[in-house]
Amino acid sequence: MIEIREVSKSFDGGRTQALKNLSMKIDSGRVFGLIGTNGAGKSTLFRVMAGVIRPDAGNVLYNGKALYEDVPSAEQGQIRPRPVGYGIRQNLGIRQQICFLPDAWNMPLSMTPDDCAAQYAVFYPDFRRSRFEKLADTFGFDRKKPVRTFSKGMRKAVMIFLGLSTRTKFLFCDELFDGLDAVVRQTMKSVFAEEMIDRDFTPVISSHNMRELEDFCDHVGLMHKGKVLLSEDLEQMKLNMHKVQFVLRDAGRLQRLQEELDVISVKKRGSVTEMIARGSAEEIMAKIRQEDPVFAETVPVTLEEAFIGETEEKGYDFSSLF
Amino acid sequence: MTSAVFFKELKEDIRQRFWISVLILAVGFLIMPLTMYYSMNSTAELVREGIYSAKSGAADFLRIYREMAGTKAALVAAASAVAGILAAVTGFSWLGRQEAVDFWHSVAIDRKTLFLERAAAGFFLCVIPYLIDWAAATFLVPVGFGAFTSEILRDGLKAVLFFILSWMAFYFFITLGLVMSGKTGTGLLLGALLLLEGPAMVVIFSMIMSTFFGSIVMPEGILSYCFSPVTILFGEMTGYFGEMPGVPASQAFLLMAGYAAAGLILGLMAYRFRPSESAGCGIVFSWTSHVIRVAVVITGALVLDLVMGGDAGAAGQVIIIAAGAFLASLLYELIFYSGLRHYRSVWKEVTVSFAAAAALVLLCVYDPAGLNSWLPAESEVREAAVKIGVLDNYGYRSDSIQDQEEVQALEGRFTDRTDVIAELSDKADTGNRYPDDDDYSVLFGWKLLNGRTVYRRYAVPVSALDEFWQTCAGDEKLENQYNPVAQFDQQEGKESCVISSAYSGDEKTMHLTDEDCAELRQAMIRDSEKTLPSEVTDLEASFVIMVGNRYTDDIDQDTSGAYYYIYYYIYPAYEETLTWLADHGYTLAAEEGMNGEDTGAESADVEGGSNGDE
Repeated sequence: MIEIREVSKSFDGGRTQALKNLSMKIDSGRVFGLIGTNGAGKSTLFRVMAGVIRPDAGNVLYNGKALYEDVPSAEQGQIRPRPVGYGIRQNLGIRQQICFLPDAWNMPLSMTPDDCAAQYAVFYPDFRRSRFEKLADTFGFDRKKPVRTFSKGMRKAVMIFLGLSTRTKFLFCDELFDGLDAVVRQTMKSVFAEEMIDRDFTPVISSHNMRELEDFCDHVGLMHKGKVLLSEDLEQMKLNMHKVQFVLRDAGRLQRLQEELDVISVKKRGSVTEMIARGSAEEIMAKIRQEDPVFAETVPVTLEEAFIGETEEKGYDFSSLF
Repeated sequence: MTSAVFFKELKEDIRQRFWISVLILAVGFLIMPLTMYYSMNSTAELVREGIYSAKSGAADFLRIYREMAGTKAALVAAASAVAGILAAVTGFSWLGRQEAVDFWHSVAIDRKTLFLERAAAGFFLCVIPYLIDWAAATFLVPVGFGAFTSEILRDGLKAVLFFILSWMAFYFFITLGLVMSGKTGTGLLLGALLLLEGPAMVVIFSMIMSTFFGSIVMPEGILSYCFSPVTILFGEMTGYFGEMPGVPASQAFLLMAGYAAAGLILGLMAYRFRPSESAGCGIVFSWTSHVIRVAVVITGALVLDLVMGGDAGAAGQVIIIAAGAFLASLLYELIFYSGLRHYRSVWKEVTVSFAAAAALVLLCVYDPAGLNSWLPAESEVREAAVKIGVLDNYGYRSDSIQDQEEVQALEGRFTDRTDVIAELSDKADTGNRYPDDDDYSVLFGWKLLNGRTVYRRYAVPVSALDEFWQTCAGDEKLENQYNPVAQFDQQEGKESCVISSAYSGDEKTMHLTDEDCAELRQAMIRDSEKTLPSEVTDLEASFVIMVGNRYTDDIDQDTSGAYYYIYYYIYPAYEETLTWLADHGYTLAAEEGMNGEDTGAESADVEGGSNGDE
């Protein structure tokens, strides 16, 4: 498990507060999706979690062990801020369990995929060269050509293959699907799923596009202006929320339904009404049937709709967040 | 885990940057063994043909070795500096890219290990190929010519140590610059500034002294106090430091080692504390930004004032300083921050810097401490000397008067010794170290009772000296130094004056006594006064006389460690000279080759050797 405890980070002499007292937990063995707009602090959080950037305050614990060893008493929860530039002491054992993939290509463009694999193998003792070669060959990449000849999507794919081949426990992917076409995206999801079945593997993925993460993540966290607004299990979030499409015979029936149900949102498209409400599916459908609809059916709730419900319950206007 | 990762990464790093080794091996081969082979081959031929004696050949082999691979190998020196910079840039330029920093600072290696690994990889990549080329140049080529000696080996070992230390100094200082800046370009600039901080300070100090305190005589070889890897390397190559008091050559090693160690420690510390998020920033550590900005602004203000201040009054100088400060601060922001968005927030620093520069200049202008006009009290003086010299088209000629009675006689022309100085300094243009024609410089030196010697120099027009000058100018020696041929005088006191004609390989040697030298000199003076070189049209015969002084019969043998070669172009119209030489058994054959352009002016090239105290 990864525990982020009251992490704060500012830049530019304190003028830009990227992370504000952020706390979050990420369970092992599940795909965690980090959603937020540009500038929400996702990349900064990843860098803090990977040990690249030292937080001003707080710590990151991996299965109870602190990544930043010079922050005293982290395990007791006593966090003290340190000045920026203070000597950085980290637990290298933990760093060996982490692989961080930023959103842009991070190695010299003159290197070939094989060169990159050799470089990764130096720092990740469990790096599987054969796995990397198999993935690259499956996707048709020439491992002997310099990466500068690859497209953005291909470079992203190579980076993901390298990350997967390290066989680290935690893989942080900033904007995982950015630049990948639909086919490659789907294939990547399958590859990730295979990895999770095969070993103790926890991918943490960020995106500003909810649709990308919707059918991939088990747990999602919503970030905004350096804070986590909510962090929920996706299924749990959708469990008590249902979307129903129906056609009623008159407007008065709709009004009654809205009074009887815990409605999150209502949209009308011509005569069809689309309603999201809290409660069990049976309860909601029972109430609707009482109004003798022309037809009524449940449809899956999207992640965006689920977030709307949750954020509005917490008092945020979702449209202002995205 | 750390040592295992260190060696694995070292191996991978060397593999990725191996092209550096190939480059150094190839370049080193060209500038060391290959060039040495051709040069030594030429010398060997001269020995075989009897032109060089065996002893001369050996001396030449040593000279060639020193200049190609040894302690005087300028190309190797330059290459060691370039290799250091290359290793630093390829090792740490990634610090300017956030994505690369994300990789290197997320993998399981601590910063100290990574820094030392890069240094070790650079060392192997650069030093090993250099040593291979050096070994070929030291052991193969000289041995092939039968020229290998213990002197060559000693010089070679000294060179190896010195060049490796130089490589390290350049490597660590450029790395320090890259670590302190978040961009490669500005990092290189910072590294270069760090390498040149010594000479920069000394140059500015010299400019201030010459501009505002012209009477104060700077120590000879002031530039030799410019301690920096660049000047030490340069000094070693040109022998500058060997001749100057500031940094004896023997200390150059220690200085370079000190720089290498300082660069390593500072670079490692800076890297350990460097925040990862600074990739792409101009200056990484905010406190260094303040320090560098203040230094840049003060320097810019001072330099502009020193260049343009000239005759501007105090108010004018303040305006110039303000302009310099403003321009320097703008330049700093544009170079290190790629824009002026911080400019409004740094106005306080700029203002303070301007005020500091202005205060410094005004202090110099008004000289409240009286440094420029300071003179020792008469009661403190044990003895005094006056040296009067003139800088004109023919060089600097001077005469010293050290006889105390004579000095006192000069000084005593006035009621008070200080009147001499006062009168001279009133008329002096102390800001002008190189006066126009008809100006003379008067150098006073006082040996004080406390053992110190103090000098003051003044530039004074002849008219101001008037009678005072006539006493000195009447000195025959000074008058005769009008003609550069008079540098024959340098031969006085030596055992013999040797003349060789080496033009077109036709070399004859003859020995002249001091009296002969003086006669020949006078003949050449008279000939040169009669015929201007530009009017020479008869080119049937022309040759070069090479004059050198030796303590032995063999002009090529440098046993004393001190020698001069002076080249005089003697034209067919120099009848008296040619007649004198013929009378003394030195008949020179007519040779072709020199045309009007070659002989457009009479010239005397002085090639000085070591002064024997290396």
